[in-house]
Amino acid sequence: MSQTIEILIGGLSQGAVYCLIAVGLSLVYGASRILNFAHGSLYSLGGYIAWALVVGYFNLPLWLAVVIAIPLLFATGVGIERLVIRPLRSWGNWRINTIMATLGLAFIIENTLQLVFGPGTKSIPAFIEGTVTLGTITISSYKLWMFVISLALVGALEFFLARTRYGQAVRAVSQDIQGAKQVGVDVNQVFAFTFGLSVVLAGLAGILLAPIFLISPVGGWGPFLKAFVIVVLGGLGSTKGAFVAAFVLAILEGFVIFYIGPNWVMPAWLLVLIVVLAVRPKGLFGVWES
Amino acid sequence: MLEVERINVFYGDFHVLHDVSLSVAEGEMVAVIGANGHGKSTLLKTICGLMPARSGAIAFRGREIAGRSPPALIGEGLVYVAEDRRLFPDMTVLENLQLGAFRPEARRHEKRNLERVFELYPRLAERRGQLCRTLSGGESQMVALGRGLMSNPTLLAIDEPSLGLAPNLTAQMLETIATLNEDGLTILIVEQSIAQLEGLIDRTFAIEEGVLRESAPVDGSPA
Repeated sequence: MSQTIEILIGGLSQGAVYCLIAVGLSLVYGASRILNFAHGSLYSLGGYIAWALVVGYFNLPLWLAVVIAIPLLFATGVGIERLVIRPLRSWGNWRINTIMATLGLAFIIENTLQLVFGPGTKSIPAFIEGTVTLGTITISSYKLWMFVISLALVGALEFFLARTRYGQAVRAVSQDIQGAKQVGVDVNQVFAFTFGLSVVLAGLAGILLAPIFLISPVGGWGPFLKAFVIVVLGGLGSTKGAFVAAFVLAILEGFVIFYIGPNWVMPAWLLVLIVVLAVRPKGLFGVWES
Repeated sequence: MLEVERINVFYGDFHVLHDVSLSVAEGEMVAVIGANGHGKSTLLKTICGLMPARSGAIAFRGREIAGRSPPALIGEGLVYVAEDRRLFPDMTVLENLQLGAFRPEARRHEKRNLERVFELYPRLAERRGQLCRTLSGGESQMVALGRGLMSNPTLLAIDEPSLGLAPNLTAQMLETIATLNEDGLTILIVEQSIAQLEGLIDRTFAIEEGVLRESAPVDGSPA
């Protein structure tokens, strides 16, 4: 019984971080219909920025590294949107073209990271060690904090989308671009802003997971593929769907690892995805547009 | 208030509007009548900055506005209400109305304008928490017009408000628009038929294959 609860709690903690990676991917798709294949390499970039600031070169405290990383990541996202995505939008077939472009960008970022930091893995020490024991259940303190921080970030995003006027404008753009233009929303600014925000979320997830999964130039592909499955399962463009799907799949992952083995995680995820899509072709919460 | 001088608008190579000129004075209610596909909506969208004109000039309150962005024009008080309403389906009535006041110039008057919209349409006040995808056609048109009013317009450009509405609802909608005009709002309205507008408008233009002509004065209205 306590074994089951530990797996469940581990799944919740993991799910919160997956959620952090996936909501950004979904947010950008929702607002601008762009599927960002460089999302995983930007996750890695977050880890490397923190590593460079904390371990590699500057020996800064982690909190300060995070404070510096956020604007850097945001600017990177805005830059990518302006320089790579926006020029492609005015051409035909932009949905496919932007997928190809972001895929190419992923390779460029990866290889740049490899040139600068080398092919080996890097690590950031966890900001908290030890375990927390509740009755018969033991969980690592770091995973508990990972859960709290990720959930707080996703909660802040949801609050922003639901309660602020600019968040409303982001949702307006995702629901009807023409309507958004007619009420005076600068649609290009929303595209750039959401892209920047999604890179911040991916990068912060990269920093949070660095003490557990290590950082490597190609290390973002695993999280990207998982985020992709989560986003499709939840319904493309739905941040609420990504939220639910992240937890469902992370808990499933915990049980699959424990009872069958880690190699079976992806097959199990894809099986769930196939079954759900067979019943609900637009995913759990996908309601609008195709 | 609005001066359109010989504008030409194209969709790709297709010439939609030919040397169209039009003027609307402050406080007027002016109608443009034409069949589908003759360029009515294109004219309104071009005036409101949602489509570019290849040549010609558009002045609003004495300032040249051709080429300015829709957000800037809304800030100036030039507001467009689309024929297909363009509501945000998964947002509530209130959120849709609030987004009408997205520009800072409109935000300053948000509270007053919201009260006015709810006064005009008590039904929207009752349904403020309802998602727009669940509204009827008539209610959707109320939200669309209300959202336009939330932008604090000085000139409201309304594209076929009767589209998809039953005749009695259309009559109510047009009466509301006429009331807004009596209260001082300048209105440029586009419709397929003049029938239901008679007695409400000051001047009429007819558009045919992208060519605009001013019609004879409507009976009983000042020319």
